[in-house]
Amino acid sequence: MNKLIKNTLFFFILLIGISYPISHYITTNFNTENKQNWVLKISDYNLDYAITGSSRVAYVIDVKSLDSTYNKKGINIGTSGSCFAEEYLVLSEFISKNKISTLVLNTDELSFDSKKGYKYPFHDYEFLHLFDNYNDVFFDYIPKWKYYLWKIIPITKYIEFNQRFTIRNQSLQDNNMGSNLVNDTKQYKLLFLKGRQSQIKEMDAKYFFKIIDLCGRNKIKVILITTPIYCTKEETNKSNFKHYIDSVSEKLKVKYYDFDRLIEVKRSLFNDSTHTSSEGSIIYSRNLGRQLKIDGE
Amino acid sequence: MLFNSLSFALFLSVVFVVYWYLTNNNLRLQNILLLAASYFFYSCWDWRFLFLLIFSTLLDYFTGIKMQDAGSKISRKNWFWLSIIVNLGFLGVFKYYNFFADTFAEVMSHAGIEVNPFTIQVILPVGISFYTFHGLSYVIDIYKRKIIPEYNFVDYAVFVSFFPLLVAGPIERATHLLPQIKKPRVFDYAKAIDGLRQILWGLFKKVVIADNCAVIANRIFDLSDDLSGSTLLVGALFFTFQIYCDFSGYSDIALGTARLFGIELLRNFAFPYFSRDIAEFWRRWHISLSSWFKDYLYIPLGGSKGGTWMKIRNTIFIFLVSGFWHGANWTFIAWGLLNALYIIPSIVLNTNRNNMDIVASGKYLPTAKEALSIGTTFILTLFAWIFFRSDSISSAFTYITNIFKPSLFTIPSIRSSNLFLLLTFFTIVEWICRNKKHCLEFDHHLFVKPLRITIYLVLTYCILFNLKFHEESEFIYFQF
Repeated sequence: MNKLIKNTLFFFILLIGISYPISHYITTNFNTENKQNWVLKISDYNLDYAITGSSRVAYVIDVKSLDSTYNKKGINIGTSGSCFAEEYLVLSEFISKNKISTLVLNTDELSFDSKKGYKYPFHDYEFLHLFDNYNDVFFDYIPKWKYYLWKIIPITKYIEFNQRFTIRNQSLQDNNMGSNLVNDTKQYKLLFLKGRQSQIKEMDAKYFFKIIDLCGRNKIKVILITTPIYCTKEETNKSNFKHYIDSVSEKLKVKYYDFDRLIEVKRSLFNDSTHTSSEGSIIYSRNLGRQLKIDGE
Repeated sequence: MLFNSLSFALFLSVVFVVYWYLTNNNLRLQNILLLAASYFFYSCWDWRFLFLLIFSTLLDYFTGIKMQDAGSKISRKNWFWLSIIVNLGFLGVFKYYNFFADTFAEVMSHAGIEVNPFTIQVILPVGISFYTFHGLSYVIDIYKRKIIPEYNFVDYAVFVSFFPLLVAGPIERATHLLPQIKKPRVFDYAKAIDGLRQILWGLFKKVVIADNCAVIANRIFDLSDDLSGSTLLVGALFFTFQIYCDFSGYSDIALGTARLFGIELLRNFAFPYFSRDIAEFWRRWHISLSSWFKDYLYIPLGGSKGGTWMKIRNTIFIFLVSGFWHGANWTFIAWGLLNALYIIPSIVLNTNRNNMDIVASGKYLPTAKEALSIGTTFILTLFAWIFFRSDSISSAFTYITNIFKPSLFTIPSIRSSNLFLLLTFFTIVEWICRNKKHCLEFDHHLFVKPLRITIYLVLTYCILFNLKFHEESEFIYFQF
């Protein structure tokens, strides 16, 4: 019996021992099929602006339309279902390899209460290879036992998410500069956010300020926006968020643009309560660009 | 708690350590621990069905004793039939009631009479087909005076519910397992190591091969109406490997786990895809079920004693029952019938016991004739699996018809070169190991320790990088 236990332990030590070079190999060749990977692989771009946020940017902002009225060249680096922490991580990586002068950041009641707003707000499995560089972000979003397990035996993170990544090189698709408009033919059920009281969660606020701070350090101008929601101001109960964002933008001297000045709340312009249709995206993006130009942003 | 889950690994480690360290080789304590562990394991599926398992165990335990103690033949017979009727009654209600009710309604509607039969909304208790057959074999053996009843309830309950075989077999016999449960067991290093090896190989088959084949096979079967003949053939091929690696992988884990506790279970698979005819295939596939049907149904029906027609009748009956045992669906019955039709020519020609040995024993390669026989048997089996996998008989026929379209000679639209390579490698390994119990049964002179350890490490990493941690991957036979 003791011999069995001794040999089993020896086997596990070997198993862990060889895991380090394997883990290093995966870290170096890590790829996924999602947009995060596309953004992280971009380098040497010199652009006027980048726009970021969740699917309410990824699916709503049409860079081509925005560029046409804004007279600038930009990129959409928003990733679906993401919280500020994820946007911070993606932005950090993006600006370490590319240049931008302005960041347009989407903020809304969902983004300040991401655990309620999104199913899986921080897509840790998209950034496993960056674990060592962003220890602090992972520490905030994964259970402590898992954090230390990933730190001590790095291969465990790749084993846990073995269905999510590949070590094959994914081809980088142009993706229309990151814009991915929702197909109009698929009509979703409209969900009103009526009566929903927004909350400002500490963790989300922390990463919101980290984004602002990161931009400050890199001399990037920040513009805050809220992309369209299918309900009128009266129907939604976003007073908490509104009050918060107004005070923050005033304090940080950052411009904030709410959608309600820029698009009509009309059924044909929306796919669901939080995403515009392609037509809505094009109209909103054009109007946003026009407004930013008028305001000299 | 699935065999391919971390929770099972933890459960097994704890039970193993307690079993060998804390029971101090005390047989009574070991058996109590195995029973408690088995009931805990079963209750992890659905604790409510634990009562059904305990009731079934108690029923057969008491009827066994009552039959033995019965003063008259009639009393003995009454106790026997009580057990048979209750056991089959549970199986009938939980597994087949809705099928019969729906079939009855359908038949009546064809006759122009609309009936709305009462159907029960209940999930099938996991393992019911397996533990019911355990109990039945025990009761039948006592009735036929092949064995005497077990008076120690714990020992008998361990025989019925020993956790490695509880949910999907192998279907054990009292004559084989009970003596092992009653015999003092001491730790045997070589046995334990071999058990671990067999678990490793079983996990590899399930996690790496079966689960990956399932992804493509499921996709192809789901989209079968719109795919080319060659793609459908690929789907059937992948399902053929999926079901083999899924079920034989499960059996390997069960046998390996039991061996860790010093218990040998019946072998369930013996490299069936190298069979030279269908009769040989059924001697190598799900052996514990085939032999159960042979001993408790085929032979009592007259077996092969009554001439060719009786043999054919009995064979068809056995295969129909076997198909029905798998599930309450006409597709399983069709699968059984098809296998019976495959086997009938060899019964008529009296060649069904021609291939009793291991193919190409002592040679590297089979002869051309052997290779042809193996290939033919494999293809026949592959087509039978299409019925097993399809949702209905009509969709199975459509699937098969669509294979033989001109598009059979085009490049499949859904395929995986990596998986083809893996299956080729797997088949070669199985061929080399076809005279062994499992593929990690090493010849220590040929496979020196560093080489063996390297193989274990490679297999372990293959398993870890294919295991699904965020979703469950059930074994196909759990549904039966």
